[in-house]
Amino acid sequence: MVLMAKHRGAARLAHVDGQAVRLGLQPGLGLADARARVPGLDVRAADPEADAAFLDRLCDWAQRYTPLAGRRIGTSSVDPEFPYPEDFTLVLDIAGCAHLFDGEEALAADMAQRLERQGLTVTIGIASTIGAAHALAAFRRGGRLQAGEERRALAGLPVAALRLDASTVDALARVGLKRIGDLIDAPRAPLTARFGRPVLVQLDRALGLAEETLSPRLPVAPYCAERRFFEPITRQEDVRAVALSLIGALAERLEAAGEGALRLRLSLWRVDGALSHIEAGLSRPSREATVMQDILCRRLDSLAEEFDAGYGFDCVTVAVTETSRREAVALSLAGPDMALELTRFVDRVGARIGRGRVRRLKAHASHIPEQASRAVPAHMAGEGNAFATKVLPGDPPERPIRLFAHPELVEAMASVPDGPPLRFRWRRVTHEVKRAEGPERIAGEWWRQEAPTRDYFRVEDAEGRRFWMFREGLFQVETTHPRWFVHGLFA
Amino acid sequence: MLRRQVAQLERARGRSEGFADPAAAEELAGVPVHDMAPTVGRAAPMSVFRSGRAANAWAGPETTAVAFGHPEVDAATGGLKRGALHDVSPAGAPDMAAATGFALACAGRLLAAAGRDSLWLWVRAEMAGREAGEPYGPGLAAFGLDPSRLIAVTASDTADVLRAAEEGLAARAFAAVVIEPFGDDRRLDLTACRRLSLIADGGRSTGILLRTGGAPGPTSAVTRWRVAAAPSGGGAHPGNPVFAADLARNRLGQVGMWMMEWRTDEQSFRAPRGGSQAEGPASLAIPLSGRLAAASGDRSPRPTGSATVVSFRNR
Repeated sequence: MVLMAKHRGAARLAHVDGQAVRLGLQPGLGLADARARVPGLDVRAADPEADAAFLDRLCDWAQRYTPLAGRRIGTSSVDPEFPYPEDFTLVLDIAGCAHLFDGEEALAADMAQRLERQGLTVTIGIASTIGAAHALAAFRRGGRLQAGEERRALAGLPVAALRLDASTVDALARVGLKRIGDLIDAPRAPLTARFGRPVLVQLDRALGLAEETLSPRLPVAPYCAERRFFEPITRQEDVRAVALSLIGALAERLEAAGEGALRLRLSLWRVDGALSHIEAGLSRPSREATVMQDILCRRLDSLAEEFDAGYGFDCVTVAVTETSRREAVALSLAGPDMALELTRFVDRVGARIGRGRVRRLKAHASHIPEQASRAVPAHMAGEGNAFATKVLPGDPPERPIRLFAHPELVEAMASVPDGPPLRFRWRRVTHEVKRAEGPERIAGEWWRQEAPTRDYFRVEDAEGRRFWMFREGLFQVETTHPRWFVHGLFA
Repeated sequence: MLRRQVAQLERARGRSEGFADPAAAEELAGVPVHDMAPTVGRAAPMSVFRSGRAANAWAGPETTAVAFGHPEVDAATGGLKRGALHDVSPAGAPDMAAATGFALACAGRLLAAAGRDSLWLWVRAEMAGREAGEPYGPGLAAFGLDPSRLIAVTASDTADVLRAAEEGLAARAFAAVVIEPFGDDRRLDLTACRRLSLIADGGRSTGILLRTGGAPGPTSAVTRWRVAAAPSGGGAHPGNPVFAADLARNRLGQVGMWMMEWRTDEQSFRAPRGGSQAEGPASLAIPLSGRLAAASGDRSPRPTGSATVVSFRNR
């Protein structure tokens, strides 16, 4: 089986499987050639986005070994014109983590075994530098180097193992520099002059003479606690119990550091390789175990229907992904005792149905009615922007209690083109207007866009229902057939 | 099944004698009350409700009812009971704004009684916002309610509305909780209603179940109002909101039908002035002489609907 990709109009092979290699097919070969050589070839289209998504997932999965896991993006193509096959390399920094798995070799064996169970073929290289580890994995079928062995081990490998682009490799080959050993011994200045800086930079990086850092895919959580199971756990109650005890451990560390958690992430590693994250946020930093447990449990409960343990989870971690030292003031609209109750309510309901759904209304300085009031998530709403609440004695309200997000078009009849409506039909019911007041003329914001002027009327029908209606467009100035809308409802 | 659950709940209630005991409800209904805040406490004794007539019956902060401000209504009902669930539904589909107004006005009375710093909660289904309009800050302010002390929750379905409402009633932060599911949903059954009642019972919050866009379903609320819009008094311009409020069921006092005008500046109800009162059915409100003995403690003494023997509008 081969995967095909189109590049600059030409269909060429992007990936080939083992059997195809035995038949003499190589990535980069034209599709027509390949079909001619191997009749009945199984050709599928390559899907680079799906590949990338899968690698991202795999990269997250690898966080069970170390928080520092990243992917290398590049190509291992030999043809500079054709960027396939892609480089499917994950880079993990296992410094300080290996002893948790009884050493580096045991870690590599564990990882290889788990990935094979997922149906993947992997080669794992372990070395002191990213370059050397990559060279081992890509050109040596894996292996492990002690610190200081790089020079000797790399000397025999082809130059391409230095992660150079294909044209540079070609150029080096033309002057007879085919192995890394040739480069190590060559004079440096002419090399740089002729082939550019990357050659020596990559060489130094691989030998550990220059610094190279790994950029992890996910930011490293400041606090993290984990538990592994020999026997996978499947019941939701067990997961919950484990999460609670992990939070307990985190709370002590937060307490010691004097920080509060703002976001929590529960990660569940399923035996078959699937990884799920459950995140929950707090509206003010907390380091109390009960508060954090409460929020995370609520989130778990709300996801209960999607909870799929499959063959069970063998690793559970809880990470604090966002912390703060500051005591948040976002919800200070209540007194000190009420504030606690209020934040608790906002967090609990937010964890259940989504934080963006718990909101507060904020006044906004605009004379466009629908922009004068804004709903902002309660945990983000600061102080200020209160509404003017002064009501003149005896005055009926001038604004409706409920406003439609989109004004609703009605058929209306008016006695004079710029007067109030006589009757109108809204939602299949005809309303006879008995009382009306207006117009209150509200012009569009000319500096934004040309919106027609609106003439607002407060009207009351024969049954006493009160509406806020407007006519769009000035008669005979902006339009000849003004349209009518119901924009809101008075009590 | 449902019937049995309800019967069990009723028994549990009878046994605990008006004590807020959500744990009992949980155990009997077989539905976990996981949302109960530990702070609510298990047995806050319900103060005895006085079917009051004297104004001082609801003067202090610890009294159990808030006056409407409309003398006739107060005399007949004893005010709006705190720590309970009240049910407000529109008389017809176009009256949803009037029902909203009445529910908000009740919330306004509760807020005024609870003090300046009190907060209120409005939990509504997404559809309710789309069909009947979203809460509008300047309008709420003009209505006499402080929009900056409102927490507005939008839930995607009835289950989430109920969840958030239960949290809100259990939290001690809110003086009034307006609960607005949308449409006829089987999840808003008697059991769900009873859970809300039990959580509100004896707590600090008062729940107002606003049923926009749905026929009134089974309810365990203390009072059930059916609200229609009524012409505002006099003049060529729309005036203060007037509601034709039909108290179809009241466990604690009389039922009746009144015209109630909401004074936005005073945040109080009153009888409408002048013409509309005379022509409206306010004067025709059925004068029940005193309180009827209820055959069963939780139902209104007469079948609902029989109180509305008078045709409401005279055309």
